[in-house]
Amino acid sequence: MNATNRIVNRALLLVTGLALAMVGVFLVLASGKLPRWADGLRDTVAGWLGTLGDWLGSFWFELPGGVALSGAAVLLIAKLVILLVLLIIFLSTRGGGKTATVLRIEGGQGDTELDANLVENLIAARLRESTDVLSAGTGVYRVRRAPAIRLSITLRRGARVPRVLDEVERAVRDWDALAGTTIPVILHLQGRGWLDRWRSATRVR
Amino acid sequence: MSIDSNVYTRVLRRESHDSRTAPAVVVASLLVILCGGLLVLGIWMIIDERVGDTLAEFLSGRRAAFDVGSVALGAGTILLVLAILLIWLALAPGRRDRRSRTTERLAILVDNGVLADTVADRVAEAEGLDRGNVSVVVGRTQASVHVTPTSGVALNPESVREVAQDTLVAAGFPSTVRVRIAERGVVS
Repeated sequence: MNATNRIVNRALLLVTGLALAMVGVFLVLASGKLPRWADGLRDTVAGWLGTLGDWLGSFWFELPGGVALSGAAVLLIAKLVILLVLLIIFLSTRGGGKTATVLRIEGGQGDTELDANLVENLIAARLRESTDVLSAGTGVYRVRRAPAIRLSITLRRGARVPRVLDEVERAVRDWDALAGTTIPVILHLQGRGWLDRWRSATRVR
Repeated sequence: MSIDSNVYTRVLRRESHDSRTAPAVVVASLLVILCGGLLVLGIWMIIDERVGDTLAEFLSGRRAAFDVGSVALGAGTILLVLAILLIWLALAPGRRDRRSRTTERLAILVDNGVLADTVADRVAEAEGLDRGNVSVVVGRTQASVHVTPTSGVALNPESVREVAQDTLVAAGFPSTVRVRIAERGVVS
């Protein structure tokens, strides 16, 4: 439910994949281990690379220290820096979208904010009391510029799903009555992890 | 106040597909390390020309004790396999094993494993079987129930199907159910 832009994830994977494929093909062609039929292909690719190299080597930059840099080196360094900046931006924008405020009411006397902990205490804590529920947790995320509640529940072995759905529905309706407005709630019934296999099927109280 | 149904549509669509964040972050981190290394190396080469010469000598492969061609071929093949993996990750839909629906108030996401567990529980309960003798796989549109009956006790596949179907309908995720009953039963 976070705000990660998934298209960018896939674009990065695709571009890196294509680049790796190109480097891989170059390496295989350059290995000299291919049968004779690949020679024509290798010569074509070598020709392209040669042209590119000639073009990049055709201009030079003078540095103040008396060092001359070829166009290739300058372009390469510039590209590396830009790529590095873009990658760091990419890494820092993953995730996010979680918010600590579930509701904000603006009134004449001042604003009221409901904290996300309140949802945890009023919905999740109540559901944890249920004999069908192994664990319950909530998170509040901003979806389409408004808060939405994610309620994740792991069921105990032998739990009855319709009964749990009813309980959740009731808990959420009570929350609605308290908040005075309906906030979208996404209920996720999670599978048990491998550790929960050893937990008992029933709960004794 | 009613709920903006676009919120549910968006969340359920996103939650039923893999985000690909984990592989993308791994790839990006490796690229950062690679770019940083190359940058340091490049600047070092500008400052000290001997580094460039050493590097060129190494890359030419004349000094190498191993066969450069084979290494290039191996590395190229590994890179191609990695490339195919990344491109597949980028283009495959990456559906998760989940089903979803909305009610008047809630959006509901259920892992298929949870539905399978419930169906297996109910079937075992209704037919008086040990829970370990019922295994259920729930897919996107259909569920298959595999039952090992108790030795000497007849088991009606229709009643098993009915129980399974009723359970799925009660959870709100109706699907076609296939029942397979093992030919040889077990003692309890």
